[in-house]
Amino acid sequence: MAVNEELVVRELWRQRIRLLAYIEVIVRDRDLAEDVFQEIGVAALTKRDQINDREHLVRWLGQAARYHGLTAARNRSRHHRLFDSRVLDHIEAMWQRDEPAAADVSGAALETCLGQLTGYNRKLIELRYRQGLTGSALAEAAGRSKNTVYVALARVHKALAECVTRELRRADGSEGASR
Amino acid sequence: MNIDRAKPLDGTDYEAALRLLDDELDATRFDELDRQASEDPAKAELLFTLAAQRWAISELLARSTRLDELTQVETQAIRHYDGKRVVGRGLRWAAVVAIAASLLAVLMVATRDRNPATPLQQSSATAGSIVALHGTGSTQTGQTLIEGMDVPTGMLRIDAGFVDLITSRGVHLSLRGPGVYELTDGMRATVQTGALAASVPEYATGFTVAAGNIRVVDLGTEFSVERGPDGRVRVDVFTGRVQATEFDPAGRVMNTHLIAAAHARIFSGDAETASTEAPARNRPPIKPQPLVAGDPGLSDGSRPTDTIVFNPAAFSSYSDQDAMHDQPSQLQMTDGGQTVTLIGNAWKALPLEYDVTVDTVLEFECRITRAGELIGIGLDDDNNHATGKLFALAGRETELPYFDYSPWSASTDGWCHVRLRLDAEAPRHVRQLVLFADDDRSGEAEASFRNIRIYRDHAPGAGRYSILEPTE
Repeated sequence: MAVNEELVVRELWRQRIRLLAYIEVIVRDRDLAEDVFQEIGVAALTKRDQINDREHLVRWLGQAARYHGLTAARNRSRHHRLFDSRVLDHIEAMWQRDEPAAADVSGAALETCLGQLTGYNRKLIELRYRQGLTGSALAEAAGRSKNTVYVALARVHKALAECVTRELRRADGSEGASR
Repeated sequence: MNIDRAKPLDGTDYEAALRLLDDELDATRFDELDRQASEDPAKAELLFTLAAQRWAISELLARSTRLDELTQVETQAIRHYDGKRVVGRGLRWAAVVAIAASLLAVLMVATRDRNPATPLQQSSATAGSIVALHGTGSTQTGQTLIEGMDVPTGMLRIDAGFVDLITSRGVHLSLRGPGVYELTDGMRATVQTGALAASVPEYATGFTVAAGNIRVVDLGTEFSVERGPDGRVRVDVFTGRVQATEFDPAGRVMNTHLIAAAHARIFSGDAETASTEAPARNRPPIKPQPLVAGDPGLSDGSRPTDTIVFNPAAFSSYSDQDAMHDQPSQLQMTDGGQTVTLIGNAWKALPLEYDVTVDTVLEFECRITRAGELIGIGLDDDNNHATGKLFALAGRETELPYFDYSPWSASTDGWCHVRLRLDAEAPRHVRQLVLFADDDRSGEAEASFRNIRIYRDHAPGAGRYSILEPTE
């Protein structure tokens, strides 16, 4: 039994952040990642007759992200360095676990954690993700060296990841039990 | 995503992953990261989770930016409606919906349009161009709308009438006034209040309209979205189909409806009340409907007691004559829509549907302030003055072959009462009542019309366009 168009669209929407992330790891270019995401959307709708159910669709999307991402990366430049297939196997294994609506759930938690950022950390996030600055441009706007900026930004991301984990646990009620 | 590992990843891992995603790693460091991630699933998964976190941050920040913008617009909109709170909490959700719609719209448009020459991400600040203006309005920056202008992205306020525009992606839109709209780009629009009709060519499939907590995604169709001051949203589909999605206040999808042609659905605007099917309309609720027999002033029987009431939004430019040679063209309404005045070099048409018979009479009063080259009236069916059956009342060029002209020349002193028999044109179905004050050299003609009636009078008439009562 094939999945219907509505389910495909709904699942593409639900998985969009995970898909974009998977593709971006491969192509390392956000604009290109969006293009590939669109290609996968087209393909999913076109081939939905060959997809049996939601679980099949999620698996299919993961494989499509890998295939279309690699193709786009190769087409982008023959100098583009590709990950060893084992790296992508690890990611695909994580993908297939299909943790429930992770992006949507952590959206609220992430929003809370972002709201707790102050000062320089907040500025870095704004410069990088609201204004889209990277590399030297980001360093110049932040008034620091590129190395310093990436070290600081890495700390912010790590702190955000830990904060999101705490928030999700708090939402599940598991954190209170552990204290 | 689970990022809680038995062996915690340190800042160096994050930094390397971050640099990799920004394509800031040199070959040596890439190879090192590749090796580590091959051997340690946690490091491979960090790449994935960090990338996801970055996309989520971008989306949240974009959403907050749009909320800020729309909050400002909300204030303006409320002020515009004299303190009546016509846009409530739904506006904030419109922002959420618009953001949410963006990715879906991009996805859906991709199902039909993969031409690399037309990138899906429009960076232009132009959302479209106005192709016909039958009313008044302004842009977010206060710029008055004029026909032919490029419309920037952002808010659009239509005070009265309606506006036809083509978006930068080729979608035909009609926006009804009064209403407040936002054009995000060529593929996305938001209805704050008002009504929007969209005719979406195949290559622009996926065009998305947000209204309150509803997002409507085109799936190859013509449809309209109407949002009233009470927040209710009505979606009508005329051809093809759309997907209408309801969101709850937390931004989660509540319901999704596929609405097919000749169907309509009304959404309450809140999360508690279910949407309902509605009797389908046969055309969008944007443009005034043509007058038909039975409307005031128009009868397929005897002389009606009432007269045609003019709606300024109903008039359109006639033929290629209106405002020709860049002369001014003004249309003014007075007496509650009973009197219309044309000024400059104005040729206007009022849509109607009427069968002219040998008994049909066109009756009206006119006052000619400045005759210019031509003052006249008539009925037509193809928006072409060269084939229209028009009647010249006054002016310097009344003997042009296009026009029938009476020996009577309208007075410039006060109102004249005129009755024209249209027997020579019968039988004929007409679609336009045409009024004109032509002066394409100096743009100084001016004439007023009022008390227009179209009906049947079985009393015998003589000759073409017989003038039965040429004087007041």
